[in-house]
Amino acid sequence: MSLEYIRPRNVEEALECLLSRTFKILAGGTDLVIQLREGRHKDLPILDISRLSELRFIREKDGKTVIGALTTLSDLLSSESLRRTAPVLLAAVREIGSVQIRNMGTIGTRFCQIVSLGRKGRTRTMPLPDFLLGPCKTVLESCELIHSVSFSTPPVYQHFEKLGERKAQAISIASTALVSGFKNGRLKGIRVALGSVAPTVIRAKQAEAFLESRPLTPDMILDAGEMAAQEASPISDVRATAAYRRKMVMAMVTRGLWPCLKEVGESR
Amino acid sequence: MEPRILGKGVSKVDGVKLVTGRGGFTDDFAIPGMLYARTLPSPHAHARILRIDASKARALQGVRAVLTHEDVPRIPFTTAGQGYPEPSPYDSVLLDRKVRFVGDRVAAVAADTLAIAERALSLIDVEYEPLPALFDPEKAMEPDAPKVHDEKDTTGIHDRTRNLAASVEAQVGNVEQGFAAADLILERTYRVPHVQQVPLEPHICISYLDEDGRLVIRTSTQVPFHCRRTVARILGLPVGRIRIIKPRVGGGFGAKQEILLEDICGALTLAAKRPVRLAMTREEEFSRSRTRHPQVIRLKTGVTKEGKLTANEMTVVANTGAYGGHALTVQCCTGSKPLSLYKCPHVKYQAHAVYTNLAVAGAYRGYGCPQGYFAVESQMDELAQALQLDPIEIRKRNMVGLGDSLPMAEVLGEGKEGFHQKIESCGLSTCIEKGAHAIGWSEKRGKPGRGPILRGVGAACLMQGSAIPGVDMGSAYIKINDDGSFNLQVGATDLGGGSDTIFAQITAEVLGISPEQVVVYSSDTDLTPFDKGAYASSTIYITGGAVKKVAELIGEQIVKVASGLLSRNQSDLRFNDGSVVAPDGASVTLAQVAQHSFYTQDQFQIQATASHMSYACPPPFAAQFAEVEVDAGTGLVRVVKFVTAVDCGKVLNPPLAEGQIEGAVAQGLGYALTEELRFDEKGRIVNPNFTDYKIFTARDMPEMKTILVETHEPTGPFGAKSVAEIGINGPAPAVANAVFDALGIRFLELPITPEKILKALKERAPQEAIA
Repeated sequence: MSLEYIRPRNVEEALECLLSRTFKILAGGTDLVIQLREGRHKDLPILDISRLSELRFIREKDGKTVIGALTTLSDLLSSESLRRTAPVLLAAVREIGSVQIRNMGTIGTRFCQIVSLGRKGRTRTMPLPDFLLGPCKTVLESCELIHSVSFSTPPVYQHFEKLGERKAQAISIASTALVSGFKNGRLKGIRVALGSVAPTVIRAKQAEAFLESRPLTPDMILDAGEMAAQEASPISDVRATAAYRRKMVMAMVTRGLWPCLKEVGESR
Repeated sequence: MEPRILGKGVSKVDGVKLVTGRGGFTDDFAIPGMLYARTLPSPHAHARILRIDASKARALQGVRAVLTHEDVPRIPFTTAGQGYPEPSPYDSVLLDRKVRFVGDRVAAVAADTLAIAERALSLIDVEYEPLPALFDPEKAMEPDAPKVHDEKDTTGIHDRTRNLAASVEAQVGNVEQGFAAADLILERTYRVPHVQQVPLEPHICISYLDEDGRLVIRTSTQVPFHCRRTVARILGLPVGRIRIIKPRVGGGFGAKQEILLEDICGALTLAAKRPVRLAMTREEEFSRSRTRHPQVIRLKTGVTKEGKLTANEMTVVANTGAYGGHALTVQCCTGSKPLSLYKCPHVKYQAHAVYTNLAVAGAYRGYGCPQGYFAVESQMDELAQALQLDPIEIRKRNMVGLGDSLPMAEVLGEGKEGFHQKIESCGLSTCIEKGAHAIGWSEKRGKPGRGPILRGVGAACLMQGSAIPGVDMGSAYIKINDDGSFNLQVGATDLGGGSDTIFAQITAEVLGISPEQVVVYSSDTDLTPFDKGAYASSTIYITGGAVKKVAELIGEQIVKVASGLLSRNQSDLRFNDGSVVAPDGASVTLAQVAQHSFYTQDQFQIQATASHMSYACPPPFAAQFAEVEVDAGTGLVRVVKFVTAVDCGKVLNPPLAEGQIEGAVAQGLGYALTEELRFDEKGRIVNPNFTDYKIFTARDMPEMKTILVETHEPTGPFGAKSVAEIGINGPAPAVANAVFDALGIRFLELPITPEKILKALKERAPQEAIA
């Protein structure tokens, strides 16, 4: 089997290549190499951007964190500033694959709120939900590279939970991330993100709005869990049934919210 | 005398080469001119091949041989590597006109590269006539069901008109009488799934013709001698024209007690006159290697109000898949071992192993016992609960002990009637006591706590056997070298468990040397004497017995020479640290003895060979304990701690014994909680990979404690019994019993998945299902 392989020296050169023809992009290789071994992308040349250090950075400025697209998952885990500002992100990263995969895998498309895409001569920036179109589908065009992902420092309460069939190297059945601030007995700036229960990661917006609408009570937590479960649109696959996934959304969202009761009390 | 070397944690003789990556596995050797082979898998669960055209594949550049059923003779055989005559039906042929499961072998190609071989497979044009497929063994037994094996030339099938590969029935006493005497009768149906052995090294072999035109096969096998005999039959060669070499093996667990590649690889070498390498991919390992027999087990038990068993009746329907290797003997063991653990005057056992068009079952560590113990040990707990007895107490009131006989083992045997068995060593009550203490049984039992995380502890008791009595034989050969070192040659098959190391220890113990002085060479049908192979927990008990005998014979020869050199009586001489020593301190080194015998006077080679077999089959015993946390919100079970207390007789090498137990527990926990091959409606496996077939990883493993309870088995070498399989039997019932302790819900079906737990919680009390 022969393979055409190009390794550009810098981002400029990479974008130049992308304008001329279609490539498969090798960043960390944790997905691509598996796909190649499965015999996919046989006719496409490989553009190896894995050594473009310009895209490997973590910067924090004015309450905003910017992470270069080629930053590895292990880089994130050893970042002092992320440990302080976004432990929820690190909790999620820790659950991805194995140590070896985290050493190679990049943040790329994986998380965060805002994505910057670059093509030669122009960049565009958009919120993550606009970027994600469906399973393994994004708005990224063949002439573009992901430059970075960025997010505002999330509020203080952060919670992440992933459910897999075992502890290590398990693709998740469902996952939940929660962040929230507290003010006058209410949740403020609550975000409820659900993974593996819809075509893309989604936010449970009805549950979020409901949770902010009045002072938090135990009954509201149960109702919000129910709402989030309804907002999910899971499928059945080899790992779990849709019904089980929906139940897990309920269980995990409520579980993530319980500690908020105490925090809310203290914010009164 | 206290042993010097046995009972110590001697390092593995192959340890250095394995950890430094010098390997020695089958795939570490490439032979110049070697071809790469692939086989074409059936896409259908059941179909007849109407037409097969390989001309395009043959025409492809780089293709050196293509074989279809039109190119090979039709000689029925069994893939099971067992003693001759095998107690398994001859229901397989090299390549058939018919395919019986998705992944069944249709054709084979050898080519210059793997890529060319793959391409050639895609060029083979096959026209299939799909036949109705059978997936449910109970339906497959119905008279109008399609026939998986309708050919007339197969032999040994119990009843091909009802798809019965094997059937067995045995009774001790009279169960009707036993149930009449019971105060309480409990009847339950248990279900256990398809699970796979998943050796980290998949099946692989490399075959070539040596300078004399003999067929040499280097293969990752558990049974080199059975492999040689079976391949000779299939390829129509005399046994003497074949040599099987077993290099280092990366795990077998029963999956390599089968001839799955060597036959077709050898046929390709004969066709191409070139070396050929054939290996399974991981996907093939799942789809066309072997699995544990799934079973539906009905168990009816009668008990008095004092908790004494009066009758036990077990009925098993096993799914053997498309072929019947090990179908009879695995089903025999499901009855003979689990139903022998407790004294019961009336016991009846009946099993049917049924052909279907699913993945093929065979040997897997435990060999029928994990299935049977899941039923028996779950049932004992439920009986205890009904009688308000502690689960440990009911076991103590019924368990076998020293001097008891094992009538079920005698009537069931393994493929033919067995031999009278009497227990001459038993540490079970000590195992229970020490294990219960280590898990904190009395403090933790019956205290699930409150809130979303509920806790429980559970126990299971077990026994296994040591080799197949009256069937298994192993032998060993030793010679001395100039420097007082020894070559030990055994046909036995070290799969990674460490038998080569223990044989070096036994030799060193007898001859007063260090294990490094023993050069062990094993598993080469040209250079080592016969051995049954590595299965049935037999290697240390049987071959270890042969090694002890042959070392003693060597010792006698050395003493005779030394006695002449020292002018002392033979009976006064002792071995000590590489020398032969007289009571007055006069001594001669083994090197001097060797040199004298080679070069000086009455020259001869100090050498001997010995064989060993046994009509006794002493059971090792164990008690296993699981502590679990059940998350009532998600249904996830976390095993917090797992304790095994095991009586394997005299422990010859403690770290290796513990390793056997811990490895077996890891596999047993997967059986309990996560492992299951799943099939779609066409009989295709939907999770043939490590992403979706969940074995326990290091992070999933609980805190492990293994307690070695030593006894002395008079029939075993230095008092040893087996330890290889027993540890896999208990995790499933111990975990199920612990989950019951946590939730008060009994699960009769494996694996106990989060979905099943949530469903059961919801059925019991909907409002409690949410944490």
